Amino acid sequence: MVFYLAIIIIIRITTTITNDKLSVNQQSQFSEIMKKDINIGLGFKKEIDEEFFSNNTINPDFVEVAPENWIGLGGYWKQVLNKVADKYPIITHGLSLSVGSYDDLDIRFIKQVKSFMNEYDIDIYSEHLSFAKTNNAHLYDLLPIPFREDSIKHVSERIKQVQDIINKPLVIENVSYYTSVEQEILEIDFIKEILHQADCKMLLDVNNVYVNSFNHNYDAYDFIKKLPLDRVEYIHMAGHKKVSDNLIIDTHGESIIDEVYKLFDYTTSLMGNVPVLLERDFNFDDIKGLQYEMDTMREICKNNWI
Amino acid sequence: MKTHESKNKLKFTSGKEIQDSMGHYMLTGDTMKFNNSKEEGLKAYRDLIFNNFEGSIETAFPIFNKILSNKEWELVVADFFENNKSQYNELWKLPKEFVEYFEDKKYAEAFNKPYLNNLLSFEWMEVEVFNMSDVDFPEYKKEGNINTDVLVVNPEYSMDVYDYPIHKINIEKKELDKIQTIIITYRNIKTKNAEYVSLSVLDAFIFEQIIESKISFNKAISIVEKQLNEKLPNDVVSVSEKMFEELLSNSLFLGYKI
Repeated sequence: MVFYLAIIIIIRITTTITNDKLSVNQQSQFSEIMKKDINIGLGFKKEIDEEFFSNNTINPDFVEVAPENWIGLGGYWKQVLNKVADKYPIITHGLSLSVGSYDDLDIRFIKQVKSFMNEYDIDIYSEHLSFAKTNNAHLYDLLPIPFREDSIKHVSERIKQVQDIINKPLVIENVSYYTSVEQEILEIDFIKEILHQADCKMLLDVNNVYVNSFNHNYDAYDFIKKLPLDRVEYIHMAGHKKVSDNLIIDTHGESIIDEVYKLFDYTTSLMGNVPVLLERDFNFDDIKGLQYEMDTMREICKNNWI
Repeated sequence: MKTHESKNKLKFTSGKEIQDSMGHYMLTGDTMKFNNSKEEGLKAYRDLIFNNFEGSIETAFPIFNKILSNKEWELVVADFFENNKSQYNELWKLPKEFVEYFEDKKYAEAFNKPYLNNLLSFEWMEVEVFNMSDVDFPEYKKEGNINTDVLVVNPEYSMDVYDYPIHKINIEKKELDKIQTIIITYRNIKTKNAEYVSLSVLDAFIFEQIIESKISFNKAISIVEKQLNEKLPNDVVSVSEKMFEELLSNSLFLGYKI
Protein backbone atom coordinates (compact mmCIF):
# COMPACT_ATOMS: atom_id res chain seq x y z
CA MET A 1 0.00 0.00 0.00
CA VAL A 2 2.71 2.48 1.00
CA PHE A 3 4.65 1.60 -2.12
CA TYR A 4 1.58 2.14 -4.25
CA LEU A 5 0.68 5.50 -2.68
CA ALA A 6 4.24 6.66 -3.32
CA ILE A 7 3.75 5.78 -6.97
CA ILE A 8 0.52 7.77 -7.06
CA ILE A 9 2.28 10.86 -5.74
CA ILE A 10 4.98 10.53 -8.37
CA ILE A 11 2.38 10.17 -11.10
CA ARG A 12 0.54 13.22 -9.84
CA ILE A 13 3.71 15.24 -10.12
CA THR A 14 4.70 13.96 -13.54
CA THR A 15 1.31 13.65 -15.23
CA THR A 16 -0.33 16.68 -16.70
CA ILE A 17 -4.08 16.33 -16.40
CA THR A 18 -5.71 18.55 -18.93
CA ASN A 19 -9.34 17.74 -18.10
CA ASP A 20 -11.23 19.65 -15.50
CA LYS A 21 -12.73 17.37 -12.90
CA LEU A 22 -16.35 16.67 -13.67
CA SER A 23 -19.06 17.80 -11.35
CA VAL A 24 -18.78 16.08 -7.99
CA ASN A 25 -22.52 16.48 -7.66
CA GLN A 26 -23.19 13.82 -10.23
CA GLN A 27 -25.63 11.43 -8.60
CA SER A 28 -25.64 7.69 -8.83
CA GLN A 29 -29.03 6.00 -9.19
CA PHE A 30 -28.34 4.09 -6.02
CA SER A 31 -26.50 6.75 -4.07
CA GLU A 32 -29.33 6.81 -1.56
CA ILE A 33 -28.77 3.24 -0.46
CA MET A 34 -25.01 3.60 -0.24
CA LYS A 35 -24.10 4.30 3.31
CA LYS A 36 -20.56 5.62 3.24
CA ASP A 37 -18.71 8.55 1.71
CA ILE A 38 -16.75 6.06 -0.36
CA ASN A 39 -18.44 2.81 -1.41
CA ILE A 40 -16.31 -0.15 -2.40
CA GLY A 41 -18.12 -3.36 -3.33
CA LEU A 42 -17.25 -6.93 -4.19
CA GLY A 43 -18.87 -9.35 -6.61
CA PHE A 44 -20.81 -11.93 -4.59
CA LYS A 45 -19.61 -15.44 -5.42
CA LYS A 46 -21.11 -18.71 -4.27
CA GLU A 47 -17.62 -20.15 -3.81
CA ILE A 48 -16.93 -17.79 -0.91
CA ASP A 49 -20.46 -17.06 0.28
CA GLU A 50 -19.69 -17.58 3.97
CA GLU A 51 -16.92 -14.99 3.92
CA PHE A 52 -19.52 -12.30 3.27
CA PHE A 53 -21.14 -12.97 6.62
CA SER A 54 -18.15 -13.55 8.86
CA ASN A 55 -17.14 -9.90 9.38
CA ASN A 56 -13.57 -11.07 9.76
CA THR A 57 -11.87 -10.97 6.40
CA ILE A 58 -13.90 -9.03 3.84
CA ASN A 59 -16.14 -6.06 4.44
CA PRO A 60 -17.57 -4.73 1.18
CA ASP A 61 -20.02 -1.83 1.25
CA PHE A 62 -22.21 -3.47 -1.37
CA VAL A 63 -22.27 -6.53 -3.61
CA GLU A 64 -23.03 -7.38 -7.21
CA VAL A 65 -24.78 -10.51 -8.46
CA ALA A 66 -25.44 -11.90 -11.92
CA PRO A 67 -29.23 -12.30 -12.14
CA GLU A 68 -28.84 -15.39 -14.34
CA ASN A 69 -27.20 -17.19 -11.44
CA TRP A 70 -29.97 -16.43 -8.95
CA ILE A 71 -33.34 -15.95 -10.65
CA GLY A 72 -35.72 -18.76 -9.81
CA LEU A 73 -33.43 -20.49 -7.33
CA GLY A 74 -34.92 -21.80 -4.13
CA GLY A 75 -33.55 -23.77 -1.21
CA TYR A 76 -30.05 -23.11 0.08
CA TRP A 77 -29.15 -20.39 -2.39
CA LYS A 78 -32.42 -18.56 -1.88
CA GLN A 79 -31.69 -18.45 1.84
CA VAL A 80 -28.20 -17.16 1.14
CA LEU A 81 -29.48 -14.48 -1.22
CA ASN A 82 -32.00 -13.35 1.39
CA LYS A 83 -29.16 -13.01 3.88
CA VAL A 84 -27.13 -11.05 1.35
CA ALA A 85 -30.03 -8.70 0.75
CA ASP A 86 -30.46 -8.20 4.50
CA LYS A 87 -26.83 -7.18 4.91
CA TYR A 88 -25.79 -5.44 1.69
CA PRO A 89 -27.13 -3.16 -1.05
CA ILE A 90 -27.17 -5.24 -4.26
CA ILE A 91 -26.48 -4.42 -7.90
CA THR A 92 -27.42 -6.80 -10.72
CA HIS A 93 -24.78 -7.30 -13.36
CA GLY A 94 -26.10 -9.40 -16.23
CA LEU A 95 -24.34 -11.85 -18.51
CA SER A 96 -26.83 -13.05 -21.09
CA LEU A 97 -28.94 -10.08 -22.19
CA SER A 98 -26.81 -9.84 -25.33
CA VAL A 99 -27.67 -6.26 -26.27
CA GLY A 100 -25.45 -6.56 -29.31
CA SER A 101 -27.22 -9.56 -30.85
CA TYR A 102 -29.47 -9.66 -33.87
CA ASP A 103 -31.54 -12.40 -32.27
CA ASP A 104 -34.70 -11.00 -30.71
CA LEU A 105 -34.39 -9.62 -27.20
CA ASP A 106 -35.62 -12.12 -24.63
CA ILE A 107 -38.49 -10.08 -23.24
CA ARG A 108 -39.56 -12.81 -20.83
CA PHE A 109 -36.06 -12.86 -19.34
CA ILE A 110 -35.90 -9.06 -19.03
CA LYS A 111 -39.20 -9.12 -17.15
CA GLN A 112 -37.78 -11.80 -14.87
CA VAL A 113 -34.83 -9.53 -14.15
CA LYS A 114 -37.21 -6.68 -13.42
CA SER A 115 -39.16 -8.85 -10.95
CA PHE A 116 -35.92 -9.99 -9.35
CA MET A 117 -34.85 -6.36 -8.91
CA ASN A 118 -38.20 -5.47 -7.37
CA GLU A 119 -38.06 -8.45 -5.01
CA TYR A 120 -34.64 -7.46 -3.69
CA ASP A 121 -35.04 -3.69 -3.94
CA ILE A 122 -32.28 -3.39 -6.54
CA ASP A 123 -31.91 -0.15 -8.50
CA ILE A 124 -29.14 -1.02 -10.93
CA TYR A 125 -29.13 -3.41 -13.88
CA SER A 126 -25.84 -3.33 -15.70
CA GLU A 127 -24.89 -5.32 -18.77
CA HIS A 128 -22.08 -5.65 -21.26
CA LEU A 129 -21.67 -3.86 -24.55
CA SER A 130 -21.22 -7.16 -26.35
CA PHE A 131 -23.15 -10.05 -27.82
CA ALA A 132 -23.49 -13.47 -26.23
CA LYS A 133 -26.07 -15.03 -28.50
CA THR A 134 -26.25 -15.55 -32.24
CA ASN A 135 -27.95 -17.95 -34.65
CA ASN A 136 -30.50 -18.65 -31.89
CA ALA A 137 -27.84 -20.07 -29.56
CA HIS A 138 -26.34 -18.78 -26.33
CA LEU A 139 -22.54 -18.76 -26.33
CA TYR A 140 -22.03 -18.02 -22.61
CA ASP A 141 -19.27 -15.52 -23.22
CA LEU A 142 -19.06 -11.86 -24.16
CA LEU A 143 -18.08 -11.33 -27.77
CA PRO A 144 -17.13 -7.95 -29.23
CA ILE A 145 -19.72 -6.22 -31.36
CA PRO A 146 -18.21 -5.13 -34.68
CA PHE A 147 -17.46 -1.42 -34.36
CA ARG A 148 -19.64 -0.25 -37.25
CA GLU A 149 -22.28 2.39 -37.84
CA ASP A 150 -25.07 -0.13 -38.39
CA SER A 151 -24.19 -1.77 -35.06
CA ILE A 152 -24.52 1.55 -33.23
CA LYS A 153 -28.06 2.11 -34.39
CA HIS A 154 -29.05 -1.49 -33.76
CA VAL A 155 -27.59 -1.70 -30.26
CA SER A 156 -28.92 1.70 -29.20
CA GLU A 157 -32.45 0.71 -30.18
CA ARG A 158 -32.18 -2.50 -28.19
CA ILE A 159 -30.90 -0.70 -25.10
CA LYS A 160 -33.86 1.66 -25.35
CA GLN A 161 -36.20 -1.33 -25.56
CA VAL A 162 -34.71 -2.78 -22.38
CA GLN A 163 -34.93 0.57 -20.61
CA ASP A 164 -38.60 0.83 -21.52
CA ILE A 165 -39.26 -2.52 -19.86
CA ILE A 166 -37.21 -2.06 -16.71
CA ASN A 167 -38.31 1.56 -16.54
CA LYS A 168 -34.87 2.88 -15.67
CA PRO A 169 -31.58 3.50 -17.44
CA LEU A 170 -29.60 0.42 -18.38
CA VAL A 171 -25.98 0.67 -17.26
CA ILE A 172 -23.69 -0.45 -20.06
CA GLU A 173 -20.15 -1.74 -19.50
CA ASN A 174 -17.21 -1.28 -21.85
CA VAL A 175 -16.01 -4.85 -22.37
CA SER A 176 -12.54 -6.24 -22.80
CA TYR A 177 -11.94 -7.75 -26.23
CA TYR A 178 -9.25 -9.90 -27.71
CA THR A 179 -9.81 -9.08 -31.34
CA SER A 180 -11.81 -6.54 -33.22
CA VAL A 181 -13.79 -7.87 -36.17
CA GLU A 182 -14.57 -5.99 -39.38
CA GLN A 183 -13.90 -2.75 -37.50
CA GLU A 184 -14.87 0.45 -39.31
CA ILE A 185 -14.83 3.03 -36.53
CA LEU A 186 -12.84 3.59 -33.35
CA GLU A 187 -13.91 1.83 -30.16
CA ILE A 188 -14.11 5.13 -28.27
CA ASP A 189 -16.45 6.62 -30.89
CA PHE A 190 -18.53 3.44 -30.91
CA ILE A 191 -19.04 3.54 -27.14
CA LYS A 192 -19.69 7.27 -26.96
CA GLU A 193 -22.23 7.19 -29.75
CA ILE A 194 -24.17 4.29 -28.22
CA LEU A 195 -24.25 5.95 -24.79
CA HIS A 196 -25.53 9.08 -26.48
CA GLN A 197 -28.09 7.50 -28.82
CA ALA A 198 -29.46 5.12 -26.19
CA ASP A 199 -29.20 7.77 -23.48
CA CYS A 200 -28.06 5.12 -21.03
CA LYS A 201 -25.59 5.05 -18.15
CA MET A 202 -22.12 3.58 -18.20
CA LEU A 203 -20.35 1.02 -16.08
CA LEU A 204 -16.71 1.94 -16.58
CA ASP A 205 -14.42 -1.05 -16.26
CA VAL A 206 -11.00 0.45 -15.77
CA ASN A 207 -9.21 -2.87 -16.05
CA ASN A 208 -10.94 -3.47 -19.38
CA VAL A 209 -9.62 -0.17 -20.69
CA TYR A 210 -6.13 -1.22 -19.64
CA VAL A 211 -6.52 -4.69 -21.21
CA ASN A 212 -7.84 -3.24 -24.46
CA SER A 213 -5.16 -0.58 -24.64
CA PHE A 214 -2.54 -3.34 -24.48
CA ASN A 215 -4.30 -5.72 -26.85
CA HIS A 216 -5.09 -3.04 -29.42
CA ASN A 217 -2.19 -0.71 -28.85
CA TYR A 218 -3.75 2.58 -27.79
CA ASP A 219 -3.32 5.08 -24.97
CA ALA A 220 -5.54 4.09 -22.04
CA TYR A 221 -5.32 7.53 -20.42
CA ASP A 222 -6.39 9.25 -23.61
CA PHE A 223 -9.28 6.77 -23.94
CA ILE A 224 -10.48 7.49 -20.40
CA LYS A 225 -10.21 11.22 -20.98
CA LYS A 226 -12.44 11.01 -24.03
CA LEU A 227 -15.23 9.05 -22.31
CA PRO A 228 -18.39 10.84 -21.17
CA LEU A 229 -17.54 10.34 -17.51
CA ASP A 230 -20.68 12.12 -16.36
CA ARG A 231 -22.58 9.02 -17.51
CA VAL A 232 -20.58 6.65 -15.32
CA GLU A 233 -22.84 5.02 -12.73
CA TYR A 234 -20.17 2.90 -11.12
CA ILE A 235 -16.71 1.49 -11.77
CA HIS A 236 -15.36 -2.05 -12.10
CA MET A 237 -11.84 -3.07 -11.18
CA ALA A 238 -10.30 -6.51 -11.62
CA GLY A 239 -7.18 -8.51 -12.29
CA HIS A 240 -6.11 -9.94 -15.63
CA LYS A 241 -3.55 -12.33 -17.10
CA LYS A 242 -1.03 -11.74 -19.85
CA VAL A 243 -1.07 -14.95 -21.89
CA SER A 244 1.31 -13.93 -24.70
CA ASP A 245 3.36 -10.99 -25.92
CA ASN A 246 0.28 -9.66 -27.69
CA LEU A 247 -2.67 -10.73 -25.59
CA ILE A 248 -4.06 -10.06 -22.13
CA ILE A 249 -7.14 -12.00 -21.00
CA ASP A 250 -9.55 -10.34 -18.60
CA THR A 251 -9.64 -13.30 -16.22
CA HIS A 252 -10.98 -11.78 -12.99
CA GLY A 253 -8.75 -14.34 -11.35
CA GLU A 254 -5.59 -12.42 -10.51
CA SER A 255 -4.64 -9.50 -8.30
CA ILE A 256 -4.92 -5.98 -9.71
CA ILE A 257 -1.58 -4.77 -11.03
CA ASP A 258 -0.08 -1.37 -10.23
CA GLU A 259 -0.58 -0.05 -13.77
CA VAL A 260 -4.33 -0.59 -13.41
CA TYR A 261 -4.34 1.13 -10.00
CA LYS A 262 -2.57 4.07 -11.66
CA LEU A 263 -5.19 4.22 -14.39
CA PHE A 264 -7.90 3.99 -11.73
CA ASP A 265 -6.32 6.88 -9.85
CA TYR A 266 -6.26 8.94 -13.02
CA THR A 267 -9.88 8.02 -13.82
CA THR A 268 -11.21 8.88 -10.39
CA SER A 269 -9.32 12.15 -10.45
CA LEU A 270 -11.40 13.19 -13.46
CA MET A 271 -14.84 12.39 -12.15
CA GLY A 272 -17.22 12.62 -9.23
CA ASN A 273 -17.84 10.09 -6.50
CA VAL A 274 -19.39 6.82 -7.67
CA PRO A 275 -19.31 3.31 -6.19
CA VAL A 276 -16.46 1.02 -7.18
CA LEU A 277 -16.67 -2.75 -7.39
CA LEU A 278 -13.95 -5.38 -7.32
CA GLU A 279 -14.59 -8.39 -9.57
CA ARG A 280 -13.06 -11.74 -8.71
CA ASP A 281 -14.42 -14.92 -10.30
CA PHE A 282 -11.91 -17.54 -9.12
CA ASN A 283 -8.63 -17.99 -7.20
CA PHE A 284 -10.11 -17.36 -3.78
CA ASP A 285 -7.23 -18.74 -1.74
CA ASP A 286 -6.18 -15.32 -0.53
CA ILE A 287 -9.35 -13.77 0.85
CA LYS A 288 -7.38 -11.14 2.75
CA GLY A 289 -5.91 -10.11 -0.59
CA LEU A 290 -9.38 -9.14 -1.78
CA GLN A 291 -9.84 -6.87 1.24
CA TYR A 292 -6.40 -5.41 0.58
CA GLU A 293 -7.45 -4.57 -2.97
CA MET A 294 -10.66 -2.96 -1.74
CA ASP A 295 -8.69 -0.97 0.87
CA THR A 296 -6.26 0.21 -1.79
CA MET A 297 -9.09 1.41 -4.02
CA ARG A 298 -10.73 3.12 -1.05
CA GLU A 299 -7.54 5.07 -0.33
CA ILE A 300 -7.31 6.20 -3.92
CA CYS A 301 -10.95 7.27 -3.92
CA LYS A 302 -10.53 9.16 -0.66
CA ASN A 303 -7.60 11.05 -2.11
CA ASN A 304 -9.64 12.07 -5.13
CA TRP A 305 -13.14 12.45 -3.76
CA ILE A 306 -13.02 13.49 -0.12
CA MET B 1 -12.88 -30.11 -31.53
CA LYS B 2 -12.06 -29.77 -35.20
CA THR B 3 -8.44 -29.47 -36.15
CA HIS B 4 -8.77 -28.71 -39.83
CA GLU B 5 -9.00 -25.14 -40.96
CA SER B 6 -10.88 -24.07 -44.02
CA LYS B 7 -10.14 -20.43 -44.67
CA ASN B 8 -13.33 -18.86 -45.86
CA LYS B 9 -12.81 -15.29 -46.89
CA LEU B 10 -16.21 -13.64 -46.88
CA LYS B 11 -17.41 -10.19 -47.68
CA PHE B 12 -19.88 -9.07 -45.09
CA THR B 13 -22.64 -6.59 -45.75
CA SER B 14 -24.12 -6.31 -42.26
CA GLY B 15 -23.33 -6.61 -38.58
CA LYS B 16 -25.69 -9.58 -38.41
CA GLU B 17 -23.69 -11.51 -41.01
CA ILE B 18 -20.49 -10.82 -39.13
CA GLN B 19 -21.91 -11.95 -35.81
CA ASP B 20 -23.45 -15.08 -37.29
CA SER B 21 -20.10 -15.96 -38.84
CA MET B 22 -18.29 -15.32 -35.57
CA GLY B 23 -20.78 -17.54 -33.75
CA HIS B 24 -20.31 -20.25 -36.37
CA TYR B 25 -16.55 -20.12 -35.92
CA MET B 26 -16.81 -20.20 -32.13
CA LEU B 27 -18.84 -23.40 -32.15
CA THR B 28 -17.38 -25.23 -35.15
CA GLY B 29 -13.81 -24.04 -35.46
CA ASP B 30 -14.35 -23.47 -39.18
CA THR B 31 -11.99 -20.52 -39.50
CA MET B 32 -13.45 -17.39 -40.99
CA LYS B 33 -11.27 -14.65 -42.40
CA PHE B 34 -12.42 -11.37 -40.91
CA ASN B 35 -10.95 -7.98 -41.69
CA ASN B 36 -9.02 -6.32 -38.87
CA SER B 37 -9.10 -9.42 -36.68
CA LYS B 38 -6.46 -11.37 -34.79
CA GLU B 39 -6.48 -15.16 -35.00
CA GLU B 40 -5.04 -15.44 -31.50
CA GLY B 41 -7.91 -13.38 -30.15
CA LEU B 42 -10.58 -15.35 -32.01
CA LYS B 43 -9.09 -18.60 -30.78
CA ALA B 44 -9.01 -17.27 -27.20
CA TYR B 45 -12.76 -16.67 -27.39
CA ARG B 46 -13.40 -20.13 -28.80
CA ASP B 47 -11.34 -21.71 -26.00
CA LEU B 48 -13.12 -19.67 -23.33
CA ILE B 49 -16.56 -20.60 -24.66
CA PHE B 50 -15.65 -24.27 -24.94
CA ASN B 51 -14.30 -24.25 -21.38
CA ASN B 52 -17.56 -22.76 -20.13
CA PHE B 53 -19.55 -25.49 -21.87
CA GLU B 54 -17.31 -28.30 -20.73
CA GLY B 55 -17.04 -26.95 -17.18
CA SER B 56 -20.79 -26.74 -16.73
CA ILE B 57 -21.26 -30.34 -17.93
CA GLU B 58 -18.41 -31.65 -15.81
CA THR B 59 -19.81 -29.91 -12.72
CA ALA B 60 -23.32 -31.25 -13.23
CA PHE B 61 -22.29 -34.83 -14.06
CA PRO B 62 -19.29 -35.84 -11.94
CA ILE B 63 -20.09 -39.59 -12.00
CA PHE B 64 -20.84 -39.60 -15.73
CA ASN B 65 -17.52 -37.84 -16.26
CA LYS B 66 -15.70 -40.63 -14.43
CA ILE B 67 -17.56 -43.43 -16.20
CA LEU B 68 -16.63 -42.22 -19.69
CA SER B 69 -13.18 -42.74 -21.15
CA ASN B 70 -11.31 -39.58 -22.11
CA LYS B 71 -11.96 -40.34 -25.76
CA GLU B 72 -15.71 -40.78 -25.21
CA TRP B 73 -15.87 -37.62 -23.10
CA GLU B 74 -14.05 -35.49 -25.66
CA LEU B 75 -16.18 -36.86 -28.50
CA VAL B 76 -19.56 -36.21 -26.95
CA VAL B 77 -18.71 -32.82 -25.40
CA ALA B 78 -17.24 -31.56 -28.68
CA ASP B 79 -20.29 -32.78 -30.59
CA PHE B 80 -22.67 -31.13 -28.14
CA PHE B 81 -20.64 -27.90 -28.19
CA GLU B 82 -20.74 -27.74 -31.98
CA ASN B 83 -24.31 -28.73 -32.62
CA ASN B 84 -26.51 -27.85 -29.67
CA LYS B 85 -28.44 -24.60 -29.93
CA SER B 86 -28.30 -23.57 -26.30
CA GLN B 87 -31.51 -21.89 -25.25
CA TYR B 88 -31.05 -21.16 -21.57
CA ASN B 89 -29.90 -17.78 -20.32
CA GLU B 90 -28.54 -19.55 -17.27
CA LEU B 91 -25.33 -21.48 -17.83
CA TRP B 92 -26.13 -23.80 -14.93
CA LYS B 93 -29.14 -25.10 -16.90
CA LEU B 94 -27.08 -25.99 -19.98
CA PRO B 95 -26.48 -29.58 -18.72
CA LYS B 96 -30.23 -30.19 -18.98
CA GLU B 97 -29.90 -29.78 -22.73
CA PHE B 98 -26.93 -32.12 -22.67
CA VAL B 99 -29.12 -34.87 -21.17
CA GLU B 100 -31.56 -34.53 -24.06
CA TYR B 101 -28.81 -34.28 -26.67
CA PHE B 102 -27.00 -37.37 -25.40
CA GLU B 103 -30.21 -39.39 -25.53
CA ASP B 104 -31.27 -38.10 -28.95
CA LYS B 105 -27.89 -38.95 -30.46
CA LYS B 106 -27.99 -42.44 -28.94
CA TYR B 107 -24.56 -42.16 -27.37
CA ALA B 108 -25.41 -44.68 -24.64
CA GLU B 109 -25.77 -47.40 -27.27
CA ALA B 110 -22.70 -46.19 -29.16
CA PHE B 111 -20.59 -46.38 -26.00
CA ASN B 112 -22.13 -49.74 -25.08
CA LYS B 113 -23.18 -48.38 -21.70
CA PRO B 114 -26.97 -48.45 -21.97
CA TYR B 115 -27.49 -47.07 -18.44
CA LEU B 116 -25.86 -43.72 -19.30
CA ASN B 117 -29.14 -42.00 -20.20
CA ASN B 118 -30.44 -42.90 -16.76
CA LEU B 119 -27.23 -41.76 -15.12
CA LEU B 120 -27.42 -38.32 -16.72
CA SER B 121 -31.08 -37.96 -15.75
CA PHE B 122 -30.32 -39.05 -12.20
CA GLU B 123 -27.41 -36.65 -11.79
CA TRP B 124 -29.35 -33.79 -13.36
CA MET B 125 -32.31 -34.41 -11.06
CA GLU B 126 -30.05 -33.79 -8.07
CA VAL B 127 -29.06 -30.39 -9.53
CA GLU B 128 -32.64 -29.53 -10.46
CA VAL B 129 -34.13 -30.42 -7.08
CA PHE B 130 -31.33 -28.64 -5.19
CA ASN B 131 -31.97 -25.46 -7.17
CA MET B 132 -35.75 -25.68 -7.65
CA SER B 133 -37.84 -22.66 -6.70
CA ASP B 134 -39.25 -22.75 -3.20
CA VAL B 135 -42.70 -24.31 -2.96
CA ASP B 136 -45.10 -23.15 -0.24
CA PHE B 137 -45.28 -25.80 2.45
CA PRO B 138 -48.74 -26.84 3.66
CA GLU B 139 -49.47 -26.57 7.37
CA TYR B 140 -48.50 -29.65 9.35
CA LYS B 141 -47.80 -30.89 12.86
CA LYS B 142 -44.78 -32.92 13.90
CA GLU B 143 -46.58 -35.20 16.35
CA GLY B 144 -48.92 -37.90 15.09
CA ASN B 145 -49.48 -41.54 14.26
CA ILE B 146 -48.34 -42.83 10.88
CA ASN B 147 -51.07 -45.45 10.83
CA THR B 148 -54.01 -43.20 11.54
CA ASP B 149 -53.03 -39.60 10.76
CA VAL B 150 -52.89 -38.09 7.29
CA LEU B 151 -49.29 -37.77 6.11
CA VAL B 152 -48.17 -34.42 4.66
CA VAL B 153 -45.52 -34.72 1.96
CA ASN B 154 -42.62 -32.35 1.42
CA PRO B 155 -43.67 -30.77 -1.93
CA GLU B 156 -40.05 -30.29 -3.07
CA TYR B 157 -39.48 -33.68 -4.65
CA SER B 158 -39.47 -35.56 -7.94
CA MET B 159 -40.37 -39.25 -8.33
CA ASP B 160 -38.77 -40.86 -11.39
CA VAL B 161 -38.70 -44.32 -12.89
CA TYR B 162 -35.38 -45.58 -14.26
CA ASP B 163 -34.58 -48.69 -16.28
CA TYR B 164 -31.49 -49.34 -14.16
CA PRO B 165 -30.68 -49.16 -10.42
CA ILE B 166 -28.66 -46.11 -11.31
CA HIS B 167 -27.98 -45.07 -7.72
CA LYS B 168 -25.88 -48.21 -7.37
CA ILE B 169 -23.51 -47.40 -10.22
CA ASN B 170 -19.89 -48.24 -9.49
CA ILE B 171 -17.36 -46.09 -11.31
CA GLU B 172 -14.83 -48.94 -11.33
CA LYS B 173 -17.17 -51.69 -12.55
CA LYS B 174 -19.13 -49.51 -15.01
CA GLU B 175 -21.87 -52.13 -15.47
CA LEU B 176 -25.47 -52.43 -14.30
CA ASP B 177 -28.16 -55.03 -14.80
CA LYS B 178 -31.43 -53.77 -16.19
CA ILE B 179 -33.90 -53.57 -13.28
CA GLN B 180 -36.72 -51.05 -13.15
CA THR B 181 -36.00 -48.68 -10.28
CA ILE B 182 -38.05 -45.94 -8.67
CA ILE B 183 -36.17 -43.08 -7.07
CA ILE B 184 -37.50 -40.04 -5.27
CA THR B 185 -35.14 -37.06 -5.20
CA TYR B 186 -36.15 -34.46 -2.64
CA ARG B 187 -34.81 -31.37 -0.90
CA ASN B 188 -34.12 -31.92 2.78
CA ILE B 189 -36.01 -29.24 4.69
CA LYS B 190 -33.20 -28.74 7.20
CA THR B 191 -30.00 -28.97 5.17
CA LYS B 192 -31.58 -27.91 1.85
CA ASN B 193 -29.43 -30.55 0.18
CA ALA B 194 -30.89 -32.79 -2.52
CA GLU B 195 -31.21 -36.35 -1.25
CA TYR B 196 -32.66 -39.46 -2.79
CA VAL B 197 -34.38 -42.64 -1.75
CA SER B 198 -35.07 -45.77 -3.78
CA LEU B 199 -38.56 -47.22 -3.34
CA SER B 200 -39.90 -50.68 -4.09
CA VAL B 201 -42.81 -50.82 -6.52
CA LEU B 202 -45.16 -51.47 -3.60
CA ASP B 203 -43.84 -48.51 -1.58
CA ALA B 204 -44.08 -46.25 -4.62
CA PHE B 205 -47.68 -47.39 -5.04
CA ILE B 206 -48.43 -46.62 -1.38
CA PHE B 207 -46.66 -43.26 -1.70
CA GLU B 208 -48.83 -42.33 -4.68
CA GLN B 209 -52.02 -43.19 -2.79
CA ILE B 210 -50.95 -40.98 0.13
CA ILE B 211 -50.14 -38.09 -2.21
CA GLU B 212 -53.25 -38.37 -4.35
CA SER B 213 -55.83 -39.09 -1.66
CA LYS B 214 -54.19 -37.32 1.32
CA ILE B 215 -54.55 -40.26 3.68
CA SER B 216 -52.73 -42.18 6.42
CA PHE B 217 -50.39 -45.10 5.83
CA ASN B 218 -53.01 -47.65 6.94
CA LYS B 219 -55.63 -46.16 4.66
CA ALA B 220 -53.20 -46.30 1.77
CA ILE B 221 -52.54 -49.98 2.51
CA SER B 222 -56.28 -50.64 2.39
CA ILE B 223 -56.58 -48.98 -1.01
CA VAL B 224 -53.59 -50.89 -2.36
CA GLU B 225 -55.02 -54.19 -1.12
CA LYS B 226 -58.35 -53.38 -2.71
CA GLN B 227 -56.71 -52.61 -6.04
CA LEU B 228 -54.56 -55.73 -5.88
CA ASN B 229 -57.57 -57.68 -4.70
CA GLU B 230 -55.53 -59.44 -2.02
CA LYS B 231 -54.45 -58.89 1.55
CA LEU B 232 -50.80 -57.99 1.97
CA PRO B 233 -48.83 -60.25 4.35
CA ASN B 234 -48.13 -58.64 7.73
CA ASP B 235 -44.35 -58.82 7.31
CA VAL B 236 -44.60 -56.99 3.97
CA VAL B 237 -46.73 -54.25 5.51
CA SER B 238 -44.31 -54.03 8.42
CA VAL B 239 -41.33 -53.48 6.11
CA SER B 240 -43.23 -50.75 4.25
CA GLU B 241 -44.27 -49.13 7.52
CA LYS B 242 -40.62 -48.93 8.57
CA MET B 243 -39.74 -47.41 5.24
CA PHE B 244 -42.39 -44.71 5.58
CA GLU B 245 -41.27 -43.94 9.14
CA GLU B 246 -37.80 -43.45 7.70
CA LEU B 247 -39.19 -41.14 5.01
CA LEU B 248 -40.83 -39.17 7.80
CA SER B 249 -37.59 -38.81 9.74
CA ASN B 250 -35.72 -37.92 6.52
CA SER B 251 -38.19 -35.10 5.78
CA LEU B 252 -39.69 -36.51 2.59
CA PHE B 253 -42.78 -36.34 4.73
CA LEU B 254 -43.06 -33.16 6.74
CA GLY B 255 -45.43 -34.55 9.38
CA TYR B 256 -49.16 -34.91 9.81
CA LYS B 257 -52.17 -32.91 8.73
CA ILE B 258 -53.47 -30.47 11.32
